[in-house]
Amino acid sequence: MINTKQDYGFVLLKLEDNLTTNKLLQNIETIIENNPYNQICIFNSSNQKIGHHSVPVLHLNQSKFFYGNLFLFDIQSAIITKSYPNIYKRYFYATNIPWEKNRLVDYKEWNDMLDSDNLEIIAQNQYIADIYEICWKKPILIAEDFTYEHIKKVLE
Amino acid sequence: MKIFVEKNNDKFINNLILSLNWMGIETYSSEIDQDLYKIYHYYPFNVGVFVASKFNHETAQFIAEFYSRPNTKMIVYHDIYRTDIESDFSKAAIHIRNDKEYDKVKIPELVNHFLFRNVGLERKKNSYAVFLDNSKELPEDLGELLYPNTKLHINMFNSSEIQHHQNLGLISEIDKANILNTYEFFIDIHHNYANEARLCGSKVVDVAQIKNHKKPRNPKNINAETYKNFIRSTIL
Repeated sequence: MINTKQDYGFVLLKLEDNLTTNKLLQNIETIIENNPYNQICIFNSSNQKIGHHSVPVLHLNQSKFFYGNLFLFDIQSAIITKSYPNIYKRYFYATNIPWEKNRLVDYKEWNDMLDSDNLEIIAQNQYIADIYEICWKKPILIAEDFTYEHIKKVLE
Repeated sequence: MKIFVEKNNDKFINNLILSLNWMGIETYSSEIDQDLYKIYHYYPFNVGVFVASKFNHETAQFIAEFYSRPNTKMIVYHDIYRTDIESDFSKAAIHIRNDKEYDKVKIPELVNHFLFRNVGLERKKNSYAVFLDNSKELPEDLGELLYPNTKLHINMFNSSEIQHHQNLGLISEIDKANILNTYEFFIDIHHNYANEARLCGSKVVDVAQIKNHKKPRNPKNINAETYKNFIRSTIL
């Protein structure tokens, strides 16, 4: 299969056996069902999930060879994937304001992470969207939950 | 000529170190941490610049021992005014200070022309930069302009004490020059970087001007001495 700009990787550093992870995996399953001709997988480094979800999971190491788009859910993933050569777009699902609490980090590091050309921001709510727009760049979407319905605009 | 500068995170010391490096003068800067004699052993300098707020017995002993050697100059920078150091070392060291009232070597208004200049970068429209520079509290009037009170694109920098979503982290002097080259406006809350902002092409405003929607008036002439001249006249 040829890789395309419509292939999606989801970087989930920790897969834990809890409600949030279950919900997220269900949502990724729905995305797969609705996009049967795209390659979609999860990249993960710590898996404590006893799973019954039919989502392919690859080790995080493999993500650097991935062609397509990546969805990121934390700032660590944004740091890890910053220099990946084959990524068309990275979509960062912002649920908090990490620089507000980590005040000893240099501005340059935040700027390199969050004002990067290939990084787009999806904000969880209007407040997060406003703050990201004021500080870095305007989010492309506000999605209260990371569900297929909410993010399908990005996938189209 | 070898120069040692004791590190201190303030505008004068940071720009002094950068300017000395740009001028090609052999310079070493570090914290002293009770290692001044060791530093001198590895790097026998002719000019030592010491910071008054960090002055201790070791520095005092060192100056007393070395000031009379040929081609040697000891300088104490009074970031806070220490009359005890000034009286104890009135002959052994040159005392410099950022204060209009000071009658010894007063540091004039200085600008680092090497660093702060307009390099023609693209500017973020309607963006405002603020340097908090180690402030512990937000100025009250500035708070009125921040989210959620307004949606103005105001970004603050350089305070590890203030927890605020528009405080974007710590910056160096080089970052400051870059920010003043990319932000359209600069809010000068400490009256410390107005000349630098003008040199970089950022319009200097204050909080009242923003509230009243007044246009900034930026003079074209900048009345400030260069670090280069100050180094030549006082440090070397």
